[in-house]
Amino acid sequence: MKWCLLLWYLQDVLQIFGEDYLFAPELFLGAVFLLMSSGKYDHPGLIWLSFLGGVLWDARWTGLIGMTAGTYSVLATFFSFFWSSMPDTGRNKLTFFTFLLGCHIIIGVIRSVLVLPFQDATWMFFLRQQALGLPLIYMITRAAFPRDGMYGAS
Amino acid sequence: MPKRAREIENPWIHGGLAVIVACLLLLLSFQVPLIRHAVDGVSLLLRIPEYPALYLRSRTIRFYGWIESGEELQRRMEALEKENLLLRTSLARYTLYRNDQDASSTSLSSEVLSARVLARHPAGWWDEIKIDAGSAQKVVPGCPVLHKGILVGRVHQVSRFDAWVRLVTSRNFSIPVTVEDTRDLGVLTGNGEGEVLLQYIPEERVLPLHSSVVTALLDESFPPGIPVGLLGERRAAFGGFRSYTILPGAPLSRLYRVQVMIGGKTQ
Repeated sequence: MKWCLLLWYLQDVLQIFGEDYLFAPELFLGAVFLLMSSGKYDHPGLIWLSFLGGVLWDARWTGLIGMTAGTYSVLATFFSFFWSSMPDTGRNKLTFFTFLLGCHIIIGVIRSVLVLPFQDATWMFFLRQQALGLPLIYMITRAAFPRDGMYGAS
Repeated sequence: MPKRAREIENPWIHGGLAVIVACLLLLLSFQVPLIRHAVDGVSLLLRIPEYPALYLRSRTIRFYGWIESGEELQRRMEALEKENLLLRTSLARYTLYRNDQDASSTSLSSEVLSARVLARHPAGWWDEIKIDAGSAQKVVPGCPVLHKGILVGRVHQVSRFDAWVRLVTSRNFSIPVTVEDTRDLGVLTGNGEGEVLLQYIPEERVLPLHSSVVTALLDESFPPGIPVGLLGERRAAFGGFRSYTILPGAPLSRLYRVQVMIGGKTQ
């Protein structure tokens, strides 16, 4: 849980610094996925945790309480389903990275469409978020699978 | 595990519930003022852990603002220094010219009057501008009009408190000028479409590009040595003469304030 708290705070700090230039990378959701993939925590609890993190985020940044919370919950639910239904051999670094990156892009698009006026500058916010998020997502993936190779345990 | 317990553990149920609650919150956030208080409360609460980041951000912004304002001041100072230099040069040349003239026939006072551009009709955009200085300020037809020390036109019609200035880009503008590097003389005129031309340069003369072009001593109404611009491209020769374009030194499409040289012998 401390990971969730820490990464929510880090995401918040990044948003403070990049308020005028970008959306902060979705580190909190990365932390939720990381905990889900660990198998040590029950997924429904983590879904509600993602909801709570989203509510806090909305209260702090978007003002549309429920927007981020709903998005986080949906993505966490999909991840839970996806991860649980996958055979052990498929649960590797590459799958995790791809899924987290996909979710990151989806949230970025939702934020771009809903939060900012639709214009060219909006997509710069989105692109910067993705550019900054990519290495951070990779780091979260590394944290989730510290000893594995790209395709599984080596 | 009993079926009921499995259902409770089903992430789809929890996810669905979370989404429903999120949608309700979203609807409420538009209508219930209490939500606004909650938002304010969260912001207030987060202010404590966010303080270092907020402090660092404000410091960074202030630092960049300080750098930018320094650069802006530097740019403005350089522009003013340049303007000052040009005006001093023009004034010195004007004084030199004035001393050479017959004192009895010339009204001599080397004043530079600042004037605001009042009007510029789209139909005559490159022809003339109206300024807020007139005969009450000793402006007379023929006075040179400058922008930061660079010639932009001359007064051609004066009322009591305003005057019309014919721009160097006008077809009807024509004064003698000289190319500073080679001392070649020519006639400066406009083409009415934003271009300034140096005409009547003998065909066989090849002038160096980007040479400075200044007003010549030949015309009584203009002090010599007022910069006009730089020599631009060479045009095709016609009738034994060639014309050159002049790259104006002043921003002729963005004239808001100009300086009028009053005094001297005018037409």
